[in-house]
Amino acid sequence: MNCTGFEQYILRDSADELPARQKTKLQRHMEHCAACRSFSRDLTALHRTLKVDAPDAPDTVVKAILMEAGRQPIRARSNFLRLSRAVIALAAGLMICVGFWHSFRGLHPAASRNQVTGNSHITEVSDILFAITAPELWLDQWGDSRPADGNIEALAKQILITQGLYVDFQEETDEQANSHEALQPTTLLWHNSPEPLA
Amino acid sequence: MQTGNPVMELSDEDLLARYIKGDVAAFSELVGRHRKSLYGFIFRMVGTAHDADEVFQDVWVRVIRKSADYKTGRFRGWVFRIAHNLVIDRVRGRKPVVSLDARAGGEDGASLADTLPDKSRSPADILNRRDVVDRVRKALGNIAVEQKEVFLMRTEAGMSFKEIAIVQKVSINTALARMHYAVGNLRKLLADIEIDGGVS
Repeated sequence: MNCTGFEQYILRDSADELPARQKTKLQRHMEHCAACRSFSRDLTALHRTLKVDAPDAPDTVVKAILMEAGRQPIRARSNFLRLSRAVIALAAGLMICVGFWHSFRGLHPAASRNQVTGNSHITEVSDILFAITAPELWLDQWGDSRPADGNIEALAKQILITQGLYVDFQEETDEQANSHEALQPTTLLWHNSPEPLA
Repeated sequence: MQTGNPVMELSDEDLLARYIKGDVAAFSELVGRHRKSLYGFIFRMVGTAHDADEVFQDVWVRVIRKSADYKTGRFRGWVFRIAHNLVIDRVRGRKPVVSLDARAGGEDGASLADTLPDKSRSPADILNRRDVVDRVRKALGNIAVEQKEVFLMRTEAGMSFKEIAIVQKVSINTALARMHYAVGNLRKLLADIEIDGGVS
């Protein structure tokens, strides 16, 4: 290690941040290095010089600060802020919970039966997603018996069509296809089927 | 057996917690503890008593206003971080002043003071402590702000390099390197004077 490295050791040693092993190494080096001894001496001298003539804050300034400290209603303000934050967090949490509840309650069989016919958009979407992704579970909730041919997806689709929630574009007739022009844009994918296929 | 003042035995963080609950005496103790080191740091950074008074007051006013938001960490580091921000704003917003010690621009590093004839200064004057301190102060004005800041946090406030690194948002090695440059530059700038057996 060169003197630059040892000078950094001197700096760390002045802050009591030099590990014992490195401190021993530094002491050994300084025994025969005049340059590092000079660096260390200068550092101490600079430190001592600044300490001797260290300026202090005027009493008038300190007094003004303490008066300001006495004026600030820290407790009231901080409690108010904490309360405000808590209320906002609670309200946000409540809104999220209501949103989730409203979104997923359509999965409950009893609620679904009412909500499907009630044209609740969120319920319809969650119901359809559930039926498409897990038709077997969805059918169980509806209490329908399993189809004889075992085609659960077809039965799920059929029930959705019966409820007016799904249109199979591949199987629709020309008359049904023509009727799309009259549909509202928001119900294009989930519009009522003209005739239940069940 | 002397029990001592209970407020004096509390940590900075505990004092702040007490102040938040309304104990102004705890805040007074807090100011008293850091008064000299913080003011010394600010004064040497900004260079004038007027600016130092303003910045010192601003620091504590911010401490008062933000005390409710203070969560964890070392109080001293937090206060010096506030001071660091205010000092940097103040220093950067100021027009540069060419001091007599500013480098003349030559590669040899000669200062303006070196190039001017110094007829008023006798060897006795050079040994005068106030003069030496003034030279050191001026020399500090001629090193990079980051180096000067590390040097002052270390010498004025007695902060560890770890604390300094946190305040400056740099690594410990960078803080050490800045200190190393600061001492090296000061030694060069003060090479012609004697300080308590040091720089010669």
